[in-house]
Amino acid sequence: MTQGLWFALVVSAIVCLTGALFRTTQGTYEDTTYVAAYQGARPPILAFRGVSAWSLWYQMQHDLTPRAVRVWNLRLAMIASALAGAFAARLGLSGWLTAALLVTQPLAVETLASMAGRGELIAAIGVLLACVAVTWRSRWAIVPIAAGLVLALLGKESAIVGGVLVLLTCRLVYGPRWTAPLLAAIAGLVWACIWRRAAGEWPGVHVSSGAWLLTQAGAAFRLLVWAIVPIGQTMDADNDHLSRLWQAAAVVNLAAVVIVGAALWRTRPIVAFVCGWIAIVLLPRLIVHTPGSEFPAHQLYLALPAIAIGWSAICQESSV
Amino acid sequence: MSTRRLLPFVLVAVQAAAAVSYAAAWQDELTVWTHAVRHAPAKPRPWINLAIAQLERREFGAAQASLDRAEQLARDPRVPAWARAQTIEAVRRDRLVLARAAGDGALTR
Repeated sequence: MTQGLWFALVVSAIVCLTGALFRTTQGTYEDTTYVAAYQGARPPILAFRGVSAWSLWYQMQHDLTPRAVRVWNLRLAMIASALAGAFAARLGLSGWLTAALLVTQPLAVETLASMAGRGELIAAIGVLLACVAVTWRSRWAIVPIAAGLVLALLGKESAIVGGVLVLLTCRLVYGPRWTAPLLAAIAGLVWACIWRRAAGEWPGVHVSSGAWLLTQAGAAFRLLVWAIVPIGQTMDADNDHLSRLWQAAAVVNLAAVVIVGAALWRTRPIVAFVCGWIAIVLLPRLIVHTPGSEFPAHQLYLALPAIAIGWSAICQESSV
Repeated sequence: MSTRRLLPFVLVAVQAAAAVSYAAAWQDELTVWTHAVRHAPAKPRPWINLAIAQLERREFGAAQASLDRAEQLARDPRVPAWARAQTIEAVRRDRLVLARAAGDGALTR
């Protein structure tokens, strides 16, 4: 009876969300930029964002409409939600609840409603596929793990964190012998981000690392609050007018997420896992400068499965 | 049903309601940027994009007011210098489009 109730609730939520999203009559947000970018020759698939670029280019060749973009984004979101549910079920949590929480996450609306979200969805599908495969106790799991990570990178280059998330999952599922590789991978990610920290700067546009950290921490923390308490979210949040106090508090709070996660690993491993996942997803954002691209909600999509898993764990009051 | 058993359903229902409500802001450019300026009234960029959406609907007076507001906000010292320069350039460009559209009675860009 409970399973049936869940199924009915999830289907109802998807139907309502579909109705709300498909009332669109035109492209929104950054869609015009994407249409201009992908109207030419077929983009290479085997490149960062190759699969997401190809999927949008393909839709343009077959009468792209804003509604069609959202249909495909919603399909991909349902796949990501199903994978998140499968992952949660492998961890001993409610798969239905996790999938329902991800598909109904208000912060995901921006991802579903814009072309910019296509890459985020494909990256999340790849990473979640890899993490589900980690839970299969088979040597052949390396095939879907590798395939998932490659797919994620072909979705968006920010899925570079996928390898670290896979190691985090290994640590959760297989125990302390994975701690050293995980810490080494995190150190490697931090080094890579510092090495490429100016990668997103334009000529003549330079930001200091301290100012960037404060701005992005403030933006990230606000997005995380919206992900948990869905009040006041907007597609173009004003990050420049966040007070220094809020920004500093955000840095402290994000550091606390990491510290609390590490401290809870033995007693509440799922909660620790969720904290670690969120911190790893946010890490590049806090270091690599992209002054032309503020922190929009669709760039947090890869962290949303972890939040859904966290809520599932809280609801079930269970631990692995 | 106990509170603990109700919690998951309440969570999903609240999230779904919030998602459907937020999705209503994503109908078209006008609804997107009207929502944005309501929630971030001190940020220049949403006002510029709102002006463009209003231009496309031939709401020339409203577009003029939005561009004026964007330029005023861009001069706030908290806006980074490079963003201020970009905003002012975008406002200048869109004022030309507005003037041409209002003069011709047709929108060109």
